[in-house]
Amino acid sequence: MTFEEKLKKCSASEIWQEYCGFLDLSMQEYMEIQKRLLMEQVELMAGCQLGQRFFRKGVPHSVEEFREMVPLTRFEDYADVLLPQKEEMLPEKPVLWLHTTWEGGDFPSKRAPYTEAMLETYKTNILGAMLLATSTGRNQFNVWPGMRVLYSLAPLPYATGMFPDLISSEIDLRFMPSVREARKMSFGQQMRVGYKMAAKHDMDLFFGMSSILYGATRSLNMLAKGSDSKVGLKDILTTHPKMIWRLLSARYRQKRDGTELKPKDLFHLKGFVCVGTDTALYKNELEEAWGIRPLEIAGGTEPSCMGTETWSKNGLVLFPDACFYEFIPEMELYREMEEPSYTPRTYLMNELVAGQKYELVITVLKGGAFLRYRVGDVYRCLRLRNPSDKINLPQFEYVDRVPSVIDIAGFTRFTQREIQKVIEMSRLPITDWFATKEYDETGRSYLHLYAEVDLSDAQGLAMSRQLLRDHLSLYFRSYDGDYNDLKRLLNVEPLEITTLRSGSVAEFQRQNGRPIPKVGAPRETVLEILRLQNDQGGGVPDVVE
Amino acid sequence: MSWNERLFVVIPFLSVVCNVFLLLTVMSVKKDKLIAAFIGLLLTFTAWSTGSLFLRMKLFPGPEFWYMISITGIFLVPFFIYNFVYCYTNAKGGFIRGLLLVTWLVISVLNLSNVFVTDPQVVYDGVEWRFEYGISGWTVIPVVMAVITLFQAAQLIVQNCKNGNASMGQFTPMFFGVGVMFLGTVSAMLPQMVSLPIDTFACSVNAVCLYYMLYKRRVVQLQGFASDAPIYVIALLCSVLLLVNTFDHIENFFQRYFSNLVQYQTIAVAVLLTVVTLLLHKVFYHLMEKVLLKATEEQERNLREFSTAVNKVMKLDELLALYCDFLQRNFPGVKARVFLKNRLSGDFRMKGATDMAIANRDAFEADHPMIVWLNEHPEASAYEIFCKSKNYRAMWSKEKKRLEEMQVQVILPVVSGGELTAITLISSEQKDKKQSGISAGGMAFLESAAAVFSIALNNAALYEELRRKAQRDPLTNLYNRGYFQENIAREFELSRHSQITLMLINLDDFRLYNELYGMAEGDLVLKRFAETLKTLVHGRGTVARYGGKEFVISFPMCPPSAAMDCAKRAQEWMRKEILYSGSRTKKFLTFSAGISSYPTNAGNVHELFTYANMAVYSAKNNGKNRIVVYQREDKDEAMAKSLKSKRALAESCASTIYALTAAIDAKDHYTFSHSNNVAEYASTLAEALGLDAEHVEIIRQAGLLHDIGKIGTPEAILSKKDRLTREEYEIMKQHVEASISMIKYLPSLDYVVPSVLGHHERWDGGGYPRGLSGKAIPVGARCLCLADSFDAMISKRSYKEAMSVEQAVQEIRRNLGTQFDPEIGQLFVSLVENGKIRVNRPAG
Repeated sequence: MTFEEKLKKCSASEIWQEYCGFLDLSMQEYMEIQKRLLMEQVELMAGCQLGQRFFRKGVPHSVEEFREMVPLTRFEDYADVLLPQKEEMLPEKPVLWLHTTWEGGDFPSKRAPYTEAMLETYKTNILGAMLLATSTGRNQFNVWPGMRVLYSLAPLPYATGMFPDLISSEIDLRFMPSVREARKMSFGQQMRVGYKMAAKHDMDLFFGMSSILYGATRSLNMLAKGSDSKVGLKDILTTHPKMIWRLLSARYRQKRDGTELKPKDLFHLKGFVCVGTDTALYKNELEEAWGIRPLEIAGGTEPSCMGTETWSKNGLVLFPDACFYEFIPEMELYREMEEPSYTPRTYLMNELVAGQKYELVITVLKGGAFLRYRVGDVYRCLRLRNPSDKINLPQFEYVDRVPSVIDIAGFTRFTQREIQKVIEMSRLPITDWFATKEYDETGRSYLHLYAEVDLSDAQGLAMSRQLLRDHLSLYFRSYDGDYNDLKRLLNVEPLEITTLRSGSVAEFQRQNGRPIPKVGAPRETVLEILRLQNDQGGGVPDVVE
Repeated sequence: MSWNERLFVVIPFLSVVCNVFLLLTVMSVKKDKLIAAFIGLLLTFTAWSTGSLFLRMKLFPGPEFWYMISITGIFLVPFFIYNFVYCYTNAKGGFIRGLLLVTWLVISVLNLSNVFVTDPQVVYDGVEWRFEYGISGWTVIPVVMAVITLFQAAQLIVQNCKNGNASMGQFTPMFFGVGVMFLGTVSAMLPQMVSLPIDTFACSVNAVCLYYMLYKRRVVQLQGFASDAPIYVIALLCSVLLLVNTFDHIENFFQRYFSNLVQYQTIAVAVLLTVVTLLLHKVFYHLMEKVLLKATEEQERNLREFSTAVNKVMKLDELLALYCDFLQRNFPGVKARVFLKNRLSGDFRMKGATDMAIANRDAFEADHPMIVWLNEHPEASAYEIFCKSKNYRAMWSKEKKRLEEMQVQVILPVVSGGELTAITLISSEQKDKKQSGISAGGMAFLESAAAVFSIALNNAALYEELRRKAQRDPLTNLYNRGYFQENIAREFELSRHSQITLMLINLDDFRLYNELYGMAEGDLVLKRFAETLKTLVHGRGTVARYGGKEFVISFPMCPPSAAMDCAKRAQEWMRKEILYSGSRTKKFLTFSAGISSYPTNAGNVHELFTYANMAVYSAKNNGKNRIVVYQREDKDEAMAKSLKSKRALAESCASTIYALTAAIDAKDHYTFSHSNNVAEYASTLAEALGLDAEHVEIIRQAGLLHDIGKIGTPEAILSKKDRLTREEYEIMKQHVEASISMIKYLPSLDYVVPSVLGHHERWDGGGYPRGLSGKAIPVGARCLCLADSFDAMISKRSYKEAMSVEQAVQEIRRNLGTQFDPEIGQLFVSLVENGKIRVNRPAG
């Protein structure tokens, strides 16, 4: 029975139970599912060459043994198998390979195999998220066949590109543009056509990347104003009268009250799903603009769709059957940064502390390829249970990438390696540097590069901060396609430069006896080094705060 | 009466019949607010259709009255539909309902004053009777109210679905029924349709649809149709209708043929009406019973039979067979797999199936998500419901796949005392699940069967537990001697065309071990040794505790080397565990093992034991702590060994035997020389049989001691010259037990007991003391029997003359197969005849 048939034949509570019943699990039941499915994955892995690579100490027979015997892994541990897509080495034959770009790593991209069982779970979970996006409480959802869906997520082979394919096999939704047409378009084209169709015919459900949604929201008023001249008779005739009425009445109110046109004036969304980093920063503004609080889902190329918020939209609950989750506390992460040989300790879902930040470690279940894999995402455990929603599971909020990776708007990621490469390519007289992720007054994230410029160099003397930024930005764009997209799609320049006095970094290291992390240094360290410069006299040559 | 008029009678009549029938059926159901609401609705339908019918029929008190009944029924329908929905959806808050009720009552009262429908009149236009009326402008009020009321009802339904309490699909019959009713009522106002009684027809369709909706919700059952009251009323209505339509003909008929009995006409009609009613009742009841009750009654009968049958069986296999057979007979299109809980591991293993082709080793572990779910939901459920549960998320892909392959449709748990004890998975191979699905009634029936099965299963489990305990040795939890003997007989039969090996293990000096380290330590060693043996044998055979310090192991289909290997490993274990146990006190314990096998040497189970015993005896006599495989040796080898063995045996036991034989010699010299002869003849015979040297020596010693019990026999009897009386013979017979009771106090000679005890047994079972027959008599005893008889026959006794050797041989021949073993007896005869047995003429 498809999801659509269930909507017709089953009661709401039955549908809810099937797709969102995991929210009723107790912590113990949740862990039972986790442990049981992990042992399935161990059994599958033990029978393949990739698994044997990690089971050198023997095949684990319990979760405890698994955590003790299997090392923490990164993509590098799988690259020789996954990049050439050596299916014979995997635990199960994949039916699909997903890709993502990864210029910051040792390899240009990452690939992840998806088995049939993984896709089945993915489908169930994404449908559950869709129900939750339209819900106001347990059993209270509002989904029907033929809903109009605007979809502005990255297409296949990115993980988000799978949503429409999976959903459309279960329920007949009207994607704007249709799944088939969208495949022929670029991401930008798809968005433009989708918005145009939505403006004409209304939309009920919106899936999108938070940063793009935010960008679109901010520019909607401007677009609306500028679109007057382009509206022709054909457009009016093909627009649904309801939408014309909404637009006219919104315009009237806008003029009467002197307010700006907001998406909620045009669209009455039933569900609003957003994906991507920095979502938390945009949520309030998006809610204000669209009239409905967005529901955040968590996932990625490697872990698939692994978590969703609930009807109260204030914290992610991780699906018990997508991955086996382990968590590295923030303190362990910093210790690892200081001592690279240190192996951080992990904790399980039932061992977390509310309010703490953790790096997520996943083992993809159902025949996936990743064991104890460090995705590089940091989550904060908001609470261990939510009595008001009667949920007895921990809820999370996405914080950011791990400190050693700077993620900008979910589009691109910078690592030490990438920044170093760009600096080398630029041939600028930068003698030392470190970078952090910071936010501007509108909440947008950017890369803040603290660079020591060699003032003895003739070129260095002539270098202003703006020039330095433009120059480096050019090289970032040419080196990283995603950085270029950021500029093109969102029209943002995510780079800021602060020049430091030559030798400042070395001086800090000398005084404190520890090096500054090249990427992701704590804010306190940054302030300390800036203070050190001031103390040294002469002030900071060109600091932008 | 025109056809149109007839139509206006027949259709409302059918509608009345239908409504009254449903009404009476529902009346018999246990009342709750939903049933009460449905009864209210049916009453309005009945008023509507009955009023319409009686109006056309111009029945008393008149068309105006029936018009009022009919129109009031019509006006109250919207409210009662709302009320029905209100109860069906368990809606909260009664304000709107109360408001609607008051409004509709007011409208109905106003209508009775002709406010909405004006000047209703029944007119006859010369062709047919028609009903004419006018409509005032106020009619819009009830129409708007009807729309509002039905809209409110629809809102309740939508809200109910949104809350997840029901699906829209459940209300489909209602939407259909109300839709038909609405269209029927509206179309009745159209000029083209006014001549058709479509509104009353639509009203009955709606009633049937609503009844179906309640049936789907299991509020009412179709079996209610077959109850007495509704059928009787229907029969009565039908016969009245028949009478009304045929009254003129009946009257004419009566007046033509029975004009002189005209005063009895009323009585005759009444009787006719009664008879027709009774006949119709009978016919209707029979029809209903055929359609509705037959299947139910058959199910109930089957269930009763099943209950009786399962109460008679105690064995699990038989119970399972009955259960599977029951399921197959009652659900012929489906397949069932029965999984029973293993009490030790908690796992559920497949133990039976309706079709042996699907029987395999499927099992569910105790923590399997389906088991966990069933513990929380111990009732018959569709598999789909489990698939929607949160527990389903914990299923492994291969587990899901397996259940899908099985095409499971229904999961039927069997619960006993709150504990899940078995599961029945019911599946169908039909691709269309709707066709092969089990109805709600079927599910209830399955649950009843599971309840019966659960009680029987519990009894069977208790029986199995008791049986298991009876088969076990309480200390070591190994099988006991009794079970082992039963079991080896079965194993022997199975291995008859292959091979089987038996090993006896006897702990050396265990009594001493107990005395040195205490009984508790001794028991501990026995337990651990038993565990070790079980581990070593591991499915290749059966281990049992045969005696206090004796263990026995059977190895079906295995050669002696398998037993030898096992014994060596056990020896190794004992060496490590006991000798090098690490305790401060150095302990010492060994065992001697004897192995015999079929068909290498033994020919039957008894011989397997005998030869294994002999091998143990040999091991003990050769310094203990050794493993001996019993084997018949060829003659030369046997001869070579025999001297040495004989000497060893004679040396070890000579002094004891000498003491005993000296005692008998002192009392009765004849018995002394007789015993010597018997020993000589029997050992020669044993040698010729190919028994090994030790066995021959045992038989010789048994010969020497076989009459030792005669020490206790009164001398008067021993030397009596006449035939012994019956009493004296009984006393004489006791010498066998007396011999045993003397020998058993001599542990070093206990191995001769079987031969001594059996030397008066007969091949045909007529001997004493145990009445053994055939090869169940130990081979040594059979040899002694021949030697004893032969020597007795050729001896001169106080009460008889000596027979010649030839006569004695002849006598033996005559008794082959009755008193003597025919094979050994023939051998004995030939040995005597060719002089290999040197006959010593007794002194007499």
